[in-house]
Amino acid sequence: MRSPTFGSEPVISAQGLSKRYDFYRQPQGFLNALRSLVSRELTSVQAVVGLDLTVERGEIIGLLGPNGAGKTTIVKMMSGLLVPSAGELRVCGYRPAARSYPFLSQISVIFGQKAMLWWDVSTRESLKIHRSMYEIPRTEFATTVGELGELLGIAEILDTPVRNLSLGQRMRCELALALLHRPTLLFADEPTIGLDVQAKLVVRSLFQEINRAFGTTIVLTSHDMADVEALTERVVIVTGGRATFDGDLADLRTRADLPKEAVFTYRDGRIERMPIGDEPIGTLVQTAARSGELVDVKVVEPGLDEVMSAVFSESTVRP
Amino acid sequence: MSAHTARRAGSVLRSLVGQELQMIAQYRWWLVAMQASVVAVPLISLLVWRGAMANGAEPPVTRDYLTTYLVLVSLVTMLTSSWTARFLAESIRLGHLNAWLVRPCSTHLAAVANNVSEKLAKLATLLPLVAILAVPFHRDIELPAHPGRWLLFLWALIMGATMMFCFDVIVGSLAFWWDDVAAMDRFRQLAASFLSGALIPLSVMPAAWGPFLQVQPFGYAVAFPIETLLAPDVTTLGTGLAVQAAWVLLALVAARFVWVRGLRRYSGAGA
Repeated sequence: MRSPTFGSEPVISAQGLSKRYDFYRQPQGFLNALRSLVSRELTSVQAVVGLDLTVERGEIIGLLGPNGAGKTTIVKMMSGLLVPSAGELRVCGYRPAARSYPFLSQISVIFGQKAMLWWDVSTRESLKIHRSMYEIPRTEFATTVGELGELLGIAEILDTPVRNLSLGQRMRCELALALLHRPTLLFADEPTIGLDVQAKLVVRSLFQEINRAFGTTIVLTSHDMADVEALTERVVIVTGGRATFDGDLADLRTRADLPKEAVFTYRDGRIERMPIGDEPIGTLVQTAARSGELVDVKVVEPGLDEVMSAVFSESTVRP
Repeated sequence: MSAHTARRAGSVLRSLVGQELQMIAQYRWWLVAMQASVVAVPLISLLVWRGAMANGAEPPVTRDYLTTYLVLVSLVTMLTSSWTARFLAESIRLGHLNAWLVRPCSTHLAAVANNVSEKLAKLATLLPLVAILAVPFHRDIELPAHPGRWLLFLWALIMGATMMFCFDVIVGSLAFWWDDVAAMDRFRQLAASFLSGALIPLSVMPAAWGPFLQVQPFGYAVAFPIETLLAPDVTTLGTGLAVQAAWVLLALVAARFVWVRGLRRYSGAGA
């Protein structure tokens, strides 16, 4: 079931989206704990402030920011877990906080640190429950499970209790569960956390594959810059609850304004790095050559980690 | 709820019950141990009462009534009990609810499935124990033969179980506002064990408490379902059925209200 207007509108449309958390302060010391029985201090934290964001169908965007920046809160609002304090939000043509069946059956969420699979039974049993929830016909279910089993390399472990799987195997099975109903929109929160290099590559190529094959829109939050670089063209940087950058990776590098580096390798095995400023590269090579016998010279772009670090440290950056 | 939504919920519930039964089968020994302890309390009560009556005590009910009641009470208490509050509160506090809230399915369906499947498994272990308990007292056990009375008993059980489940959802949902609902849950359990008739039949409590005992909800979870089998005349049960239905309705409305209001405050702790 699709919203009647969804075909023409963006997958995600947020205007002035805000979220404030209210909680009571934890008193320090025994006397204050006693005092708190009759009087408690209410505190508010503004987690997201006036977010404007539009995501079109088929996009893969990276929602990035330092810890506590508000990106997970944004994902939680978009997936219907949290009710926004202010602003307008429509996802797949619906108001997420209403948590309607048509909305929830179009999205999928992967929490890298929280399991969606049932712990004590096999992945196949979890998939069967999702078949009932998402009303997937039996023949389509069998086909999709076969395809996902092959694609993710989990065909052999589908009947193993989840508690007996390794972290890498479990993450692949989590992915199978998340993709079973072919969601229109996938929220992937740290999807490669704890995975080995090979498993990370599998996850990344799978995301690319489902994006290409089914036009699945993917919102990725990750601290793994290799994920971001491999998957996203567009990144939204969130700092202090505000979107401080929205653009592509090339724009982001320009914005960070970090110099390229010359990497010199010497015969004795030493490696030295020098930032390339206004000086000609030839001058740098001549300078480096005075320190020993050079065997290699490379010019490298600053890593995305450094770029992000530079951008995160700015208070507000507008493209 | 449309017929289609109900069918889908039924299908999910069937899958979840099947899965819960698989899990129970893996951890089966605690079930036997737990049911043995469930039967022990009414057995002690039964022996004490029969001993007292043999020594001249005159309770306001007959020996047959008391014996049948105490043989059935462990079964009825188990079938109408609920244990969701603690788990629900923990899910809210630790953010484990997230995994359910992003699925197109009622969060409570998992708890219902857990409740139903555990009761099925407990029934399989408790029935033989109750049968063993009944053997030495079989001459004093009087049960109706008319199937209508057993249908009424089944109805009262389902209503009692629904009410207790809703109370559990209400107490568990308080975790949306409070850090710790354990104390509230404990108070509710205390009230339920004392006022439901699980420890002592309500009919042997002081007569002056009668009006209060008839309107308070917990008696409709244990004492009243047993009463549908033991009452000499079915026409006397009309008021009880009406009061039980009213409590179930009230509990359903209150549980929904607290849940919906609480969800607005949910912070989904952690990822």
